[in-house]
Amino acid sequence: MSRLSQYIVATFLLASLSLVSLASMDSAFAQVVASPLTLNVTQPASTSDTLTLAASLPSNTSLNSPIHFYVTTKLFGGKHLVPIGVSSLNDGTASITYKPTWDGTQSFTATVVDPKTGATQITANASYDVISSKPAVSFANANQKNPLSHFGKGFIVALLIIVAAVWVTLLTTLFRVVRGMSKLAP
Amino acid sequence: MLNNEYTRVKISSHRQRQVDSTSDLPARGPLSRRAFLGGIGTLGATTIAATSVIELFAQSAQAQGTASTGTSSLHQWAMVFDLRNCDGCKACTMACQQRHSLTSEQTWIKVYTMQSSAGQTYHMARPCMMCEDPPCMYVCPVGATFRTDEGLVLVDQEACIGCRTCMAACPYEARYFNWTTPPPATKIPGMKQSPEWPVPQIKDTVGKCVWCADRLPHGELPACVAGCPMGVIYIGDLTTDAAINSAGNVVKLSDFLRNNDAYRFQEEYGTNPRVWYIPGHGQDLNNDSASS
Amino acid sequence: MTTTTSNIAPIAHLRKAAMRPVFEPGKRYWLAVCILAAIVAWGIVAWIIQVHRGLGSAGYNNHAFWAIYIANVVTFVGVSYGGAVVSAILRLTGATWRAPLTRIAEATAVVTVLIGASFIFPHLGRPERFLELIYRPNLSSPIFWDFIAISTYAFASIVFFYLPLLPDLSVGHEQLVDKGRNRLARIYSKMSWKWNGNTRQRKLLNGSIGLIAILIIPLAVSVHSVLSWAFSLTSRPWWHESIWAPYFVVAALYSGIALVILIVALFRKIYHLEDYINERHFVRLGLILVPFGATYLYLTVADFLPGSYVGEHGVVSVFAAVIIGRYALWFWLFVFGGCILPVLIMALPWTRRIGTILIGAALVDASLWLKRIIMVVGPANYGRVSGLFGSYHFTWISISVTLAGVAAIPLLLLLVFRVVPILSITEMEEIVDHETKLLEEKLQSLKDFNHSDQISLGDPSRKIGIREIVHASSSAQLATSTSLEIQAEEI
Ligand code: SF4
Ligand code: SF4
Repeated sequence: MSRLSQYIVATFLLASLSLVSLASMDSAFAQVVASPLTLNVTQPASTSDTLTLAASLPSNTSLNSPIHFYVTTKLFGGKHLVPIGVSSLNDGTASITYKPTWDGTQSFTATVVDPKTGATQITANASYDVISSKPAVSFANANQKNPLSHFGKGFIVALLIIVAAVWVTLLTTLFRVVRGMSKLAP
Repeated sequence: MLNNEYTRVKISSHRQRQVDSTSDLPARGPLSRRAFLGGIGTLGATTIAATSVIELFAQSAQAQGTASTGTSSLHQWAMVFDLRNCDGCKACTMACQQRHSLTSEQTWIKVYTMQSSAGQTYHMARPCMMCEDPPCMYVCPVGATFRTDEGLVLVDQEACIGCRTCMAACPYEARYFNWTTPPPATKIPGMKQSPEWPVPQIKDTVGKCVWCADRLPHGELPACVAGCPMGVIYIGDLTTDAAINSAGNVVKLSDFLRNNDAYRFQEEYGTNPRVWYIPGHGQDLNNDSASS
Repeated sequence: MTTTTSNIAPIAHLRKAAMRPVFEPGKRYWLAVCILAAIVAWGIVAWIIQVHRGLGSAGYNNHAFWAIYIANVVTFVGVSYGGAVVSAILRLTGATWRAPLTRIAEATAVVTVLIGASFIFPHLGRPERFLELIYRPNLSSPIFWDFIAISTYAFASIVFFYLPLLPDLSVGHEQLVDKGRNRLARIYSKMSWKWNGNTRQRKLLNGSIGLIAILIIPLAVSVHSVLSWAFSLTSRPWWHESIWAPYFVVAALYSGIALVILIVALFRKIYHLEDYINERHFVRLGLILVPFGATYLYLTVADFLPGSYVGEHGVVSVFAAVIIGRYALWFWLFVFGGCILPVLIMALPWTRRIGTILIGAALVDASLWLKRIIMVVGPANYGRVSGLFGSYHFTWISISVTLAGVAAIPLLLLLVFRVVPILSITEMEEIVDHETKLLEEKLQSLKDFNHSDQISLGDPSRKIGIREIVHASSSAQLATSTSLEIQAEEI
């Protein structure tokens, strides 16, 4: 798949998914708190593998604590929130960038603590379909080169050929002697 | 084209098991040593036939064909030890030995008492490092040691000839031989002896830590991770970029490693271990660890 | 010509001597075979018990995962190089004095490489799965290449044993028929493939032997190198040394020649081959030992110096253990007993007697085995994470199995020479013929030069007659042409 078509699909999915997620969010928050936190995921065109997560609160809110962002994983049983960043509100919006590490639909969560009650978390969810990702951890000696790898399998094939040549020599010598003795006997 | 780091994990994601890896041999760009040696292992399986060499080329051609669309596996397991919290209680070792019915010498995860450069003693647990370039696998003459597509190095004890070359090759002393008949194992219904569940151990073959490979697919924590009362051990996944410990503390793996200056033990041997340590001497437990 | 007649008696004598073990091995032959067979059988029983109880019963543990058996593989496969040297290298360099030794040396090579290879079985925890090496090999493993190298070398040394034997079988055939040993005679005639010694047959055979002689030298080098790579392709301190391959090759040459000395002495004694093998042979073999012993000592220094100087953690710990620590006693025993003393014995003219040479050779073999034990156990004992050393002890099982291997060498050789001529009859005869001809030519030119008719062949009144020289060279010495030249010059 070409890069361009990836963008097109991504943009399309982005549009549709944010609509869906916004819809579901509304109903979810209706049960928890009155002031809705919204979370939006976008992919900036410049760096394709980076997502921007933006959470906003209505301008009339009195909340002003930092927003915590999470990605959801079902990796270790159940549903776990993996913290991926914290950001303060700026003009009612807090945003972080995130590099997804695996392909597929990823769900994000943003939370904010109400400083008055302390415990109350106001949560917003959104998901995004990641098409291209890259692992977050690179290895220290990832670029270490082994000279043997330069020859690859050819190295082993060459060794096998040498061994085969030795055996062929041994066997033909033996065979030649045995044959030759009878032939050369008058 | 995908970038280099990405391809790297993909290379490791191919199951390098000699017996069944004929179709997913990695073949791209400059071959890494892993790809090279892993490929040789694959070659080994096919040389039985007289047509081996022909097959070899057919096979690499096939691999080239599939390489571009090759699927990365869902998980790439990794482990982190937060040494700031380790008090050397050996609960991990005991949990492992109990789960796998091991003898007391078979410390698949072993807690070493180490000396820091500042003269403190500290404790460091050493499981199998699940090396990305596992020397134990390269030297195994019959391919009894293999690597799964999720990065787990396992031993097929039904194939192991007991030559112990892998013990010689492992820089971490992570392998334990069954020198005598193993003790009877506590049976778990429905579980059969396998590389992922090597219980009971088999006499005169080699065994080692498997990161509880039977548990990981079910989202359960390995015995040592679950058994650590201090939450030192994190089991994680490089693909998902997340790790969790027994306290249920979930971290973003890459940030956790970076922000805490994690290191890999004896990295100079070039085996690319999948275990990271966060330096420490138990200071989070107010352990001063002055050298005695 | 008189020389022709003068050759007949010693040649008949040689033919008889070579076949004597086949016909009348002596009273104590069966006693020796029984004792040796009992030792071997005991070792096999011990091995079966080991298989039953597990490798731990041979003293192995997680800090001595490789130990006595792999050291035995290295030692036994190593000593088989002696046969290749005496036979192949001396053949290619045209050292004719080798002739009475070649059969014994070649047989020793075959026997020891087979015994060495079979020490793989007690080494393996699961010997019954050995065939996996063939049907599911991992071609990146040094162990697989060990298997390839050893089996190739073993086959080559069998071929190299058989080819020079072929004409001797036809010689032996006549004697067997005379004595009514028909079954063996039939095998002899079958195996000698209508050999009648005509020039074309000789040319074909000698060409083939020459080819295998050339081939077997790099093969032997490869075997010992690949054996060393089983160790040095791991990252373990002291194993991971680039010097190990040549180190193993030199060790193999050194201990191999020492073993040839011992085996030749043994068979010379029990089968009364003193007429053919004399002190000079031992001195020459002893002299060959000197450069190899010195080289081995040199390589030992070269092996230890860089690691000790730099002080890298693991390497320096192991070296310290070897040189001044827990293995120091054994290590210095090897240095003095296995290198310095034998080299001195062989190098100093006044200690160069058969008895002392034998003691020196025995010291070499014993202490090189000891050295291999140190080389294997030391790095295995070293804990690479903890920096602590584990321990290893021999058990009755591992000792029994090892002794069985030692006893198997004379046992198998006794059995081999029960059915095969112990001296290489044809080779010796050819050399005698050749040297007689040389000598005659020399004498002829002397005669021409002196214009003297007083020197005549077969003149009984002369001080040193050609008859005596020919007799001496054919029946007793098979000296090099150089020494014949000296004698000729005396004339
Ligand atoms: S002991 Fe078993 S797993 Fe280890 S190298 Fe030998 S055959 Fe392979
Ligand atoms: S730690 Fe040792 S046993 Fe584990 S994968 Fe690495 S080399 Fe193999």
